[in-house]
Amino acid sequence: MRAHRNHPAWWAFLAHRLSGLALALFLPAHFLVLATAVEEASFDAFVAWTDRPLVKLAEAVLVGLLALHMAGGLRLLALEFLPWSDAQKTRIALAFGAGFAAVLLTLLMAGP
Amino acid sequence: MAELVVDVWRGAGFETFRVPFLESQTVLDAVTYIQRHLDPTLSYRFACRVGMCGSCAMTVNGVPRWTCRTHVSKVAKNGRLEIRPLRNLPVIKDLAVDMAGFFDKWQEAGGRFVPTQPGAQEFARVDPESPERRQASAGIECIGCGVCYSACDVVAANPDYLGPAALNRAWTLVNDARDGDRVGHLAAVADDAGCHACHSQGSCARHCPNHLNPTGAIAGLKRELFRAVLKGEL
Amino acid sequence: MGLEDCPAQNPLPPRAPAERALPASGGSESRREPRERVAAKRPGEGARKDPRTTPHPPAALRRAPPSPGAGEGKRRHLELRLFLAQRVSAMVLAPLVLLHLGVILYAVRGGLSATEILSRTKGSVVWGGLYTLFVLAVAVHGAIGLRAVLREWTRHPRLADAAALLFGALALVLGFRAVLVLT
Repeated sequence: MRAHRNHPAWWAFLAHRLSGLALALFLPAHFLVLATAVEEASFDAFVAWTDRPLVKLAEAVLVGLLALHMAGGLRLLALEFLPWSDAQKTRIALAFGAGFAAVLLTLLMAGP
Repeated sequence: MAELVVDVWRGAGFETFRVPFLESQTVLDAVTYIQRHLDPTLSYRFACRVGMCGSCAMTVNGVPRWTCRTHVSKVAKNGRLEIRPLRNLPVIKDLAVDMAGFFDKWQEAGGRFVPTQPGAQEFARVDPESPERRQASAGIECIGCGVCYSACDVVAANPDYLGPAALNRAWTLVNDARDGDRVGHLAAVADDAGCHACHSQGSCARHCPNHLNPTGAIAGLKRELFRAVLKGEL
Repeated sequence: MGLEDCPAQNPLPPRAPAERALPASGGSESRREPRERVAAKRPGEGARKDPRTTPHPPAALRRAPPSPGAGEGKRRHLELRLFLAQRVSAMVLAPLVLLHLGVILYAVRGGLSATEILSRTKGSVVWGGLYTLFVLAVAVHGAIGLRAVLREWTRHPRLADAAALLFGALALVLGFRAVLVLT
């Protein structure tokens, strides 16, 4: 990474942007698959299909992306609507922490 | 290290010089040594050499800095320095850049004070502890060195973006109780070239040698513009 | 450094003829740093030169800078309003995302079958309403976000607008379809 970008606020920006792009790619597919599975009464079969480790991992990654994007977004809203202070840096850390916690939670939930 | 290896940008490529390393040497000392003893054709700027004027700003090992306030011992990597002119500005020659565009954006951002009582005989009374004045005071020390402008990736990606320094100055005027055109200042920074292009990457605040916070200033502008729209002022 | 370094005591040797002349106005290619991208002009963005790479004309020829507030008028307000829509949709999305995560985790953990899920959502005004709002907010937020990223990372504002509209349309159509199917 270029030297001038190598700091936490920039990493937060990159994580926010990449997770946003990934979610934007995922969502229309998600809506399509969901509606199709229900319409064709194949929902149970579909859920059974998702019961494999690779899918579970992908789901965890998705939840992680969502948590990351939301954490980054909340950080921006805090920055813009709450008065700026050094506590912002703590909030960045907290936001990331919350993101990771969400990922861990999902992984645990999806366990055997 | 007894000797520094310094790669200096010369327009068409880098030139390498060997500079004797001295204790407490700054990057400006190294550049000056090169120009005085090794290559008198090297062009660069400096003035006060004590960290007050901002003229000596250059890119050192990828980071925009005041070279007079940068100790070689703190930034040299394996005894090597890479010195380039400031990013995002046209290069006149070697390490000297054309700052005119930077200051034109200052004007376009409405970075001029709009007076209200030109004939007034008394000083305006402004409480220094009021929230607005504190916000203005936090940003008022900008000396226009261009480090934040060079550090900003939105400036690099968007030719119209006014940049952190100009927006920071606009914020100080929006918070100035004496200024006569608050809405005008807000309107000048309210578009794709203005504060809304900022993504809060924070490189400006990270690298500002005066420890100013343009990221915070721009966030404030976004907030005030939100309010102005809700109030119907814009 | 001592007196022996003082330029007045040691006049510089006569200069060799300049090997690199100052660039003519307009800037020469060789002046550009090889690793830096040169900003291409955006289509329709007029005669304004890129101030980051084009050396400025001398003072006598310089136009007065545009006064604050002059410029694109309505177009400026568009960007501001898009930004606001982005922020407002984000505020709407935050609680809805938490709700959705909670719902999914509950459904997965509880091992709910399709029948069980559908029995709870079919005909439900609450679920229908919440998820309709979710779809709307996602469509707005994603479209504007995508547009901003593409405007910055590509040099084609019209491509960015098209992609944003496409995403928005897809999200709305497919999203509402999913909501209708489930409720």
